[in-house]
Amino acid sequence: MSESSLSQNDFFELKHVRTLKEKPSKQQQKKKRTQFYVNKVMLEKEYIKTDLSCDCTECGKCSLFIGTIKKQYPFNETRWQKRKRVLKRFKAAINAIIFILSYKVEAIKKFRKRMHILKAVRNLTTVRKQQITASTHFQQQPMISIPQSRQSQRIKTTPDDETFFHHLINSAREPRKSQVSIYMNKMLKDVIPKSEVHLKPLSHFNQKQLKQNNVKSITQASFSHNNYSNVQLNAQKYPSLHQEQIANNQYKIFNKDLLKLIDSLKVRHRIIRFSFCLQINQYMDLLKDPVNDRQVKTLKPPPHRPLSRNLMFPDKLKNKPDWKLLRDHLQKEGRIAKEDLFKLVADCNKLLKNEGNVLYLQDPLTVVGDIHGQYYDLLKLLEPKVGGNPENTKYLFLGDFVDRGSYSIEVIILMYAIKLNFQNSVYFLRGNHECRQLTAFFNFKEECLYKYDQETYEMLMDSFDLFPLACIINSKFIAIHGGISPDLKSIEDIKKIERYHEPPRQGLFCDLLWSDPVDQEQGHLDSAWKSNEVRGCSWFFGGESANKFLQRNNLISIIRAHEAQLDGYKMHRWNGGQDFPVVITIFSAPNYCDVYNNRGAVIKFENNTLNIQQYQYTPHPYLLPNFMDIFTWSIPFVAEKITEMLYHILQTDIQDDDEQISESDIQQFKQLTKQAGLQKQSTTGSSQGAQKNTEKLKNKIKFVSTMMKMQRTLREERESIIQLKGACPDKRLPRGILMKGKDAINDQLADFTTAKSVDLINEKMPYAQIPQESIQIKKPSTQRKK
Amino acid sequence: MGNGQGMEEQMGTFQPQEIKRLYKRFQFLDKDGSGQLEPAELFDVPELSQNPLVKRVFQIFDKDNDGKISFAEFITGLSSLYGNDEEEKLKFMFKIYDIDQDGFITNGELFKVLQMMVGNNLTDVQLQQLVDRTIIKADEDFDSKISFAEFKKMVKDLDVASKLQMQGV
Repeated sequence: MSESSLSQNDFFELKHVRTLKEKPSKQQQKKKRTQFYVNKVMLEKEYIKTDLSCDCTECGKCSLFIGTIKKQYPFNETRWQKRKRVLKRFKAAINAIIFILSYKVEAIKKFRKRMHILKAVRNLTTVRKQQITASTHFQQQPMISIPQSRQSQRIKTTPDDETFFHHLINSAREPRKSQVSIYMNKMLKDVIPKSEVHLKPLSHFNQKQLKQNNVKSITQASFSHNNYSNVQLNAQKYPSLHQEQIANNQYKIFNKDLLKLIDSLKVRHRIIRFSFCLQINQYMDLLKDPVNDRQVKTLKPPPHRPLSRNLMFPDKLKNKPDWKLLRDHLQKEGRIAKEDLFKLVADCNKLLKNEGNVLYLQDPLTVVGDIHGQYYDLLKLLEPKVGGNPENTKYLFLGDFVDRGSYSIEVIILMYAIKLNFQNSVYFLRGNHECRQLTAFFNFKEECLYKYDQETYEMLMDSFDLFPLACIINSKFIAIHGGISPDLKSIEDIKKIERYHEPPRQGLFCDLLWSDPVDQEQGHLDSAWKSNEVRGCSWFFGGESANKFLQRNNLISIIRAHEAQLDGYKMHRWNGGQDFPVVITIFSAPNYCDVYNNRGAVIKFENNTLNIQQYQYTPHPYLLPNFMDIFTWSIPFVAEKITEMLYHILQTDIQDDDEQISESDIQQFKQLTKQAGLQKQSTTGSSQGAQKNTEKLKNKIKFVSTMMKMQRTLREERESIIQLKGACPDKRLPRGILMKGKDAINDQLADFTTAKSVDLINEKMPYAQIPQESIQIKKPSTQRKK
Repeated sequence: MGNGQGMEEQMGTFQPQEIKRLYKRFQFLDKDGSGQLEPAELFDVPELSQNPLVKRVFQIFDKDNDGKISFAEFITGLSSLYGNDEEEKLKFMFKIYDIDQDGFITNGELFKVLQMMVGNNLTDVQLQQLVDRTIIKADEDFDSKISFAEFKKMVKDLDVASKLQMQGV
């Protein structure tokens, strides 16, 4: 067919054909889609090409065409439209995230709610103490009737007061020790109104109301505004609601009580806050670190100020000191003021004066031996598991509280405080170190002078004079510090002693504090009494004298301290292995003098049986000998090092230079004078000035070098003194010697015996007024004068 | 003892000849000829390698904190030690402990200086306990630091001046 003969209809048909053919044109159009229009102009050209007025199918696809173009190149599009377009792709993802997050948030909230409820339930179920009304409440209507939906939570139909009063009623048991519960306990102490208050959780009202309204779910009920207002009204009207409750008047006074309760709580809150802050400030008054450069931050510093009078003698204890507070304060190396110490001792002296020379005690009782200023070991033995809590244990101390350890003052303070608090259950006996002679010879006087002054020392000495001498336990045992005496026939002899003075150097009074049992397994002694050379006074006693004494006085055994023991105790079974030991030595100072490496022990009398409790040494803070402070210790070293340094900096070359000068000068002058025949005068003349100077210089340098040497020897000597005095601040025990022994043999017994043998000289009674020579390096005279 | 020359008003304890000798010595020590002593040059002196306080003394001499000692600083530093003024010597001793030269010896400063000297003979905890105790004893105004006045009181029995006695250059 030719095109010229085509009619309109034919043309249409042809068009159809053409349309079929135009499928590829679709593809062409598709290709057009992928076509990239560089700019708007090109697009518009394209756009213009399309004839909008034409209704042919080709042009009819114009809208599609525009759409496709627009997708490629958006123009005249607003920012918002652009955003929408871009985000459309992410729409699904964003919706998903939002959904998940919201779901998660809700899930978390639910979880938290559940945990809170569970904890509350746990608190409920641990209640032991039965409050009748409380139990009926909480069993029937658990507190957990918190509506589940978020909205109702905001309304808070179940008030938080529930948990509040819950603690009030269940104050018997504390399941948690959180700050909040501690605070609550403080708040509600003594605040429980005496009449039984029936505190109904408001949810109870809720439920009742709900039942009345026949509502199916709680949430629905809480949702309705109607119900909410009802609940509110009910809260005020509850007296009329609970007719099932027995008491008639209770509801009327309940309101008033509640108000009173609230007011008192407010007041208590203020008091607690105030006192807490105050207490913290005073109690925790540790040494501060203003520039925050303290190096060992894990270590707590000691308290900066002495314990205040108000804290030490709080009003509630009337005149008694707060011994627990003191104990902790002293453990941190705190101090107390001199006036407070005086008051403490004066109060205790009154008690001591009333005690006779001989005490009579019954079991249960804990007997403690020598403490010797080892405060941290005293703390150990006062623990419930060792000696027993002083609040419920009777204590008998056998003396020797001071000397050798460096915390004698702390020991005295704590013991006096305990005695004042428990007057009828704490007793002291006098030891041989509780006297002026020994405390001056050893280090208690020094400690007194370092921490306080001479007046304090004398006051304490006078206090020691008041200590009783012996004790009869259960009418079977006699407890004394040292041992028995040839002058001791019966207990009445002790009662006749006048004890308010320094122990004499011989006699019954002295023997009670100084004598020792013989160191022989069967207690065999040639004569009844042997003079005690170890002590330089008093006696050794053996089985013969001991048994005689015990039989005469209807006693079984002698309990005493006074001698260091490896295991902290020793049973002297002089009557054979089967019988009760004749003498028991108890020693309560572990690792005596930091070198003996022994255990400490206490005797516990219970139910007519005798038990021994041992314990190990507790470390104490480090101390330099003689309570030296850092400057006294280090300044000699510093001075020596500086002089040495400057000497080295300034010395060498000058000498060389001058020598060269002098030599060359001398040579010159020698030549000159040889010529002139004035050899003798060679040293004088124009070189005189220079040579004089060099000599002066040499002398000066010599002086400096001798200065240096002197410094060095002083320091070395001082260091050797310190080394030999070692960790024993009482300056008596040469640790250096012991250290060699320790390296050689690692045996506890060997340590103990070495230490004991070396220390033996210090067990002797010192000569009157002239301190005996003990193993110590002769110190320079300045240090002796004190 | 100061004579007419301007320099000696500052370094009142030294004669002009002594100053000359000190200058010679200074030049000898100053190996790179920079006119200033660097720490390395001072540590080169063999006997000083064992001395724990060299750094401290260097920092005290170096008044303007530029890390070097000029001759003026050298002379001024030495004059305080060579003179007869007790106060000066106490101040010098105080400066040894006061690392940042703010007029107070704090806890950390005392600890660090002591540690230089003590080395391994004491543990950190033991040394910290000593430092705490010393500060508590010395501190009178409860600021937890030791001022120069408090320091003087603490050491008045020690006769620091005679210990730091140097004579003759």
